[in-house]
Formats: sequence, structure tokens, C-alpha cells
Amino acid sequence: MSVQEQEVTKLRKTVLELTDVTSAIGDAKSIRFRKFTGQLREGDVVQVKLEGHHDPHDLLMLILGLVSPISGNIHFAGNGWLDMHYRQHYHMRSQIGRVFAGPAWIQSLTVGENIQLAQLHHGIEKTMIADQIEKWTQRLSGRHVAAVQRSLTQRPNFVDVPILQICQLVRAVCNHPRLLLLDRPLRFLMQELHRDFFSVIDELTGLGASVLWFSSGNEELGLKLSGQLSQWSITDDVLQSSEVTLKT
Amino acid sequence: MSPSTIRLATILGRLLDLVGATFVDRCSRVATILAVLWATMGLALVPSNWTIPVQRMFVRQLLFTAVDSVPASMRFAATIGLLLIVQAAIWINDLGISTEVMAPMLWKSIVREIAPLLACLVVIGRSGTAIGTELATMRSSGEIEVLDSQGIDPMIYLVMPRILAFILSVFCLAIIIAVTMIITGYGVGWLMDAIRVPWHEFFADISRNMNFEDFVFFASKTLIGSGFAGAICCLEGISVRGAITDVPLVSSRVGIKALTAVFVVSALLSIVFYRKLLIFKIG
Repeated sequence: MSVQEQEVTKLRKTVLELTDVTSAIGDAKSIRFRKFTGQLREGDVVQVKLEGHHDPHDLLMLILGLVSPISGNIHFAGNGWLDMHYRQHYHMRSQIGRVFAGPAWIQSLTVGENIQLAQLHHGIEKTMIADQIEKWTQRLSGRHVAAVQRSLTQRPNFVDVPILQICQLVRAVCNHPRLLLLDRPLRFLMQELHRDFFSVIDELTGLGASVLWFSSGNEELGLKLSGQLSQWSITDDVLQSSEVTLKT
Repeated sequence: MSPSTIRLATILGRLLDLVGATFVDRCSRVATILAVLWATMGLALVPSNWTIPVQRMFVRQLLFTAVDSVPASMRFAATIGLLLIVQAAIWINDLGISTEVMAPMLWKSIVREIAPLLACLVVIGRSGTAIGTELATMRSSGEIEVLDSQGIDPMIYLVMPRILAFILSVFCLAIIIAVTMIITGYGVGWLMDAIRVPWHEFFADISRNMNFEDFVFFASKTLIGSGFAGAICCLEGISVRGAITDVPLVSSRVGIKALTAVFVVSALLSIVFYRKLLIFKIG
């Protein structure tokens, strides 16, 4: 990295900062933090390649402040989860978009109500939400726009998984999150829509969002994303803090 | 000490240990329920917590718990009203007392005891178990985490509107039940020739005998009893640990625990109000 690039990097604000974080031992699929230190600045994309048996659920819970680490600090947008009152945690989490690998929907609501839920709860106007959903549906659905729009009035159980995955991506990005936590987002996404999704990620990172991308081991993101891409690796089920910059 | 004495002491020690642990556990549960009720009231008083999704949840719950329960409540109230009036007719004949004496007694037992209890039973049976099951399903299928991850406090979105709807529903249904019981009672009594006074005199007698104390009894029994029941249903549901197969256990547990709480609260309030334990005066 040139001196000029290093200066630019320093100017970018830190979105997520983990300092000496150690997490509890989970089940056989869990990945752990052991004295982990790392950070994501605005515009960063960090990929974590998962092996077949890995599940990053416990890590994501820690990053979202839903579980406390054994030791160390996790800061999001300059605020530590442990330093803030729990009421402010919810406001902080509203700035994080998450794509779930597992259950992702409130089954008693329609898909549309699910997408609107958090934004309405955080006081965003209905018309603005509708505009955003429309915009991102157009961007992410390719030729499946009609199917996605139809699914908005149905309950999640009655929607095909690939269509539901598009809806999940729409929900994750439509509030212009500062941090995107993606847990194997391409798993159920139709191949033909990958390019659209990568372009959306490029656009969001260009606007200052940072992305932590947990991918299946065989997914190579480097060639598909236009921005900077780094990688955190996993050794013996422990996330390593040595960051590898794959692409600048 | 002989071995048998040691054995006896050990058994007694274990028994005391069990009693103590059970007592501490019960106290801790009551404290948790009170904490949830306190938090619910505190959160409900903050206008910014009443976001559109929370309002929708409250209205949906109120519709399910109160409005949809009206026919069932009226059916039960009519049946019990009928039973009461038959009993009253027997007492009137056996003791030779007049309707004017009996009507206020009936009214007081309906308003102070029967209507609040019956409303709680209807709401627990119809909605309490449903709330517990729904929340337990949401918990075990990861939906609570979905809410948390999106910055939605489950206490505000799931628990607060349900408990408030529960309380309001019991209060309103208890009024409907009391009125239905009285009307049915009068109608059946009149047809059986057990009540011989005109309807306006009968209801005038009742209204003359209504006092502020009746309202205090009615309000406290409906609001406190239902608050406890609602909090128990939500707590049992949301605190489930394990797989989706544990959910049916929650639904049966919720009903029993909520009913127990309602009966205990009702009995305690009666003791407090009447200052009597059965026929023994306290204080």
C-alpha cells in the first residue's frame, strides 16, 4: 500500500473495532475469538472463509452486542456495547444490516411487513420505506422482480427460498446500513443475480458502509468486487487477527 | 449419636433444604413477574415506544384477546348466571328472604368475585396459552434473535403490547360478563317466577347497592390478576430453552401457572380487602 493510500485509509472512520476479544467456547460448529484484534473501516470488505462445519452465529451475536465477550471490547461506530445503556444498543443495531444463513423471518408477518418492520419501528416514513424497497427490489431481483413483489404479500413459509433470499438482501441493504454482516448470502441466491448483488455491495461500500462477509470456502469474492477486499482466516476454529489484503 | 438419629437428621436437613430452595425459587419468580410488570408499565408510558409496529401488535392482540372472546364470555356468563339464579331461587324459598335482599348479594358476588375470575379464565384459556406458545415458538425458531438483530427490543415489540392487551381485555370482558350474568339471571328468574319484581326495579335495586368499594374490588381483581397472568404467559414463552419440541410443554405449563397465579392473587386480594381468612377476622 502506498503512502497516499495509507493516508486515505487513516481518514476513513472505523465502523467496527474489536480489541483483544476472547469469546466463550461454543458447540462443535462455533468459531471463536481468542485475543482477537481487528477493525473494519468505512468502505472495507472483509471476507471470512468458512469450512463446511463452521457456523459464525456466535461471532455475529458478539459483534451485534447480543452476547458479551469473556474479555476485550467491541466497538461499533465508536461506541462500545458494554459502555452504552441497553436502550441505545437497539438504535445502534438499527444501523447494521444482517443476512442470516438460518431462520430470518417473523413467520406471523408477511415478507413485506418483515422488510418494513425495523424501519417503521425506527421511525422512518412509510413512503420512504416503500421507495427504498422498490429501488432495491429492482436492483437485486433481475428478471424476478414480479415474483419478489408478489412475495411481499405472502408469509415467508409460502415463498420459494431463492425469492426469499432476494427479499432478505433487500431487507439488509434498504436502510443504508453502516455495517453489513453477511452470513453466506450467496447460498440460496440464483447464480444470475450474483453480479447484481456484487454491484450493490460496491455501491454501498462506496457510500461508506463496511462489510463482514462470511462465505463458503469455495467462494472467491476478489474478482467480483471492485473495491478493497481483505480476509480474516480461521485456524482451529479460532478467527485469526492477521489480516490479509487480497485486493487494493 | 445413633445411626438412626443421624439418618433422621440428614432427611430433615434435606427436607428443609428442599423447602428453602422452593421458597427462594417462588420468591424469585414473583420478583421476576413484578419486574416484568413494572417494566411494562414504564415502557408503556414512553410515547416514543408506541411505534407503528407496536401499535399494530397491540391492536392485533386486543382483537384476538378481547373482541374475539366476547361470544365465548357471554356464553359462559349466561350459563353461570342461570346457575346462580337457580341457587338464589332455592335460597329465597328455603330461607324466606325477599328478592330485594338477594339481588344485592348476587350483584356483589358477581362483581367482586365471579366476573373477574371468569374473565381471567376465559382469557387465559383462549389467549394465554396461545401467547405462551407463540412466544416459545418464536424463541426456539430464532425469531427473537431476528428482532434483536434489527434493533427491535422484544420487550417493547412482543411483551409490552401483549400484557397490556391482556389486562385491558380482562377488564372489559369482566364488565361484559357481569352485565350478561345479571341480565340472564333476571330473565331466567322471571321466567321461573323466582323473581317477581319488574326489571326496572330489579336493576334499580342493584344500582342503589353499587358503591365505590365494589369498583375497587372489581378493578383490582381484574387488573392485578390479569397482569400477573399476562406476565406469566409471556415469561414462560420467551424464556423457553431448547428445540421446537419443547413448545407443547410450554403451552400446558402456561395455562396451569397463569390460573394458579390468578386464584392466588384473587384470594390474597380478598384477604386484604375483607381482612378475613375464611370466617376468621384478621387484625
